[in-house]
Amino acid sequence: MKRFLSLLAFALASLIRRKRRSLSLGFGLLLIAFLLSAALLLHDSIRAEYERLIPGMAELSVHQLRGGRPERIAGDALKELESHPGIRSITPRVWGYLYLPPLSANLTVMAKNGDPALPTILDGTLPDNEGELTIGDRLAHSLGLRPGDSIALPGAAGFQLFTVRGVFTSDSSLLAGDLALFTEKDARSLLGYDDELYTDLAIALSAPSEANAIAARIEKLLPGARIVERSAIERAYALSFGQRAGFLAALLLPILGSFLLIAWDRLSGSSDEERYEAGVLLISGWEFRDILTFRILESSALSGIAAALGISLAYLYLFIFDAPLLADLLLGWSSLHPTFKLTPMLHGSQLLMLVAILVLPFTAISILPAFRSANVDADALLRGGR
Amino acid sequence: MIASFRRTLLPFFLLSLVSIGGLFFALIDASIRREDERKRVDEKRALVSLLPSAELFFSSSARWLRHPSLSEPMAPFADTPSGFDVDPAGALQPPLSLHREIRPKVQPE
Repeated sequence: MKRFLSLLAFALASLIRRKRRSLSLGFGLLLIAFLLSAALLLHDSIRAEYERLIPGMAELSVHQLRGGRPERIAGDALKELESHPGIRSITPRVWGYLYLPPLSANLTVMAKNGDPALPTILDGTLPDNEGELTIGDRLAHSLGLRPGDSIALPGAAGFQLFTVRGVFTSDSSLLAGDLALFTEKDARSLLGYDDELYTDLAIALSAPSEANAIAARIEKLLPGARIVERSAIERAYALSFGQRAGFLAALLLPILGSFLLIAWDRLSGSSDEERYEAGVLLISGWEFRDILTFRILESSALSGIAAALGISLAYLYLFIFDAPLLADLLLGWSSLHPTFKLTPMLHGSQLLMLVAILVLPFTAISILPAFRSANVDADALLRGGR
Repeated sequence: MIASFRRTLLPFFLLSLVSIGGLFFALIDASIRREDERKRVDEKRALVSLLPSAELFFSSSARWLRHPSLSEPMAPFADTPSGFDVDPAGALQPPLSLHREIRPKVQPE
């Protein structure tokens, strides 16, 4: 143990002696650790976010198509299925988009179709009467609105005045940041739906596994309908974000590779000095094994500290400072961005994996130069100088 | 002995302390935030039932990007028939025409 500690102390002292080399290698590794873990952590939290929320959705949504173009659907189009034992409820919904020129953004206009209690994510209440609305936090922030304020919105029949009854908090921003929730009558008049038709039907099932069978029944009843299954949305999301994060990671991996190449070059390039040092150590009674341990300790201490610092900085950057540039890169530009409040999914095992990805290759590439530098003829080296 | 320890090992000791402390902070902070989120998750799922779908709000710049799985197939062309890019949210910056200032040209006298 004492021997090991002395070797460790010697390895650390050697890192300080070669300050410039240690700092440049350490900084390179820190930068890569930061970028790689930021991309992975961001992807993990976004994936966890939609995986958590998707169970709140109805299993099927049915849209009417006519001639390949979307049409609205009658509320009782699936009346025959209402008594089906596999179906819990069929809810006709009114929703659409409203373009707000001053923000160059689209609001999601939705008619309220339920009255759930939302004490922690809603400041105020849901709209109960005509002329009232509840909005998402980004919309409220961009328009400077608070509960009790009034706003005129450009509807299908000209401007209409509404009073804000509630604002969703920033915790729900990723879901409802751009939402404007109205009573059905107001939503219809804003969107210009002046008949009895609905945007779509949301179908909640008693058992999600029956989704395919019920979708087939619906297809027979409404041959032109587009039936979107919840599981399909989940898959599409997993694919699209996996793709973007994978693209980012694919960009970063060559950087890691080229860094390792440079590190290899530097570690084996400075071997003259190291061979001399190894020669002196061998003469003063060190064993070959000690020199190898010393080199491994040196590189794993350097890469361990750099990786740990890089991962910690990535965590701070993502979850404390809300990922200023990376979020734009991953999500793209938008005129109304959500408040980027993600829940970190960092676990001990994931942390270990990240540290291993970064430390092991770096330590591994330092072993061969160490072999070469330790395998010297000490006598000849000291006789002939370097 | 103490002086040499200070010179050589103290910076490393401090750096290791900071880096390991950083990892511990990340782990503890992450578990606190997960616990907070667990308390909110039922309400968030109830909120999803008030929305067209659980799709996350990443872009409001184009209506076909807000709920991509539910949007109508013709929306990109219907909105911008002459647009080059059907996915403006794939870019880092807004389309040029949005932030280009239109100034009347002043003729030199």
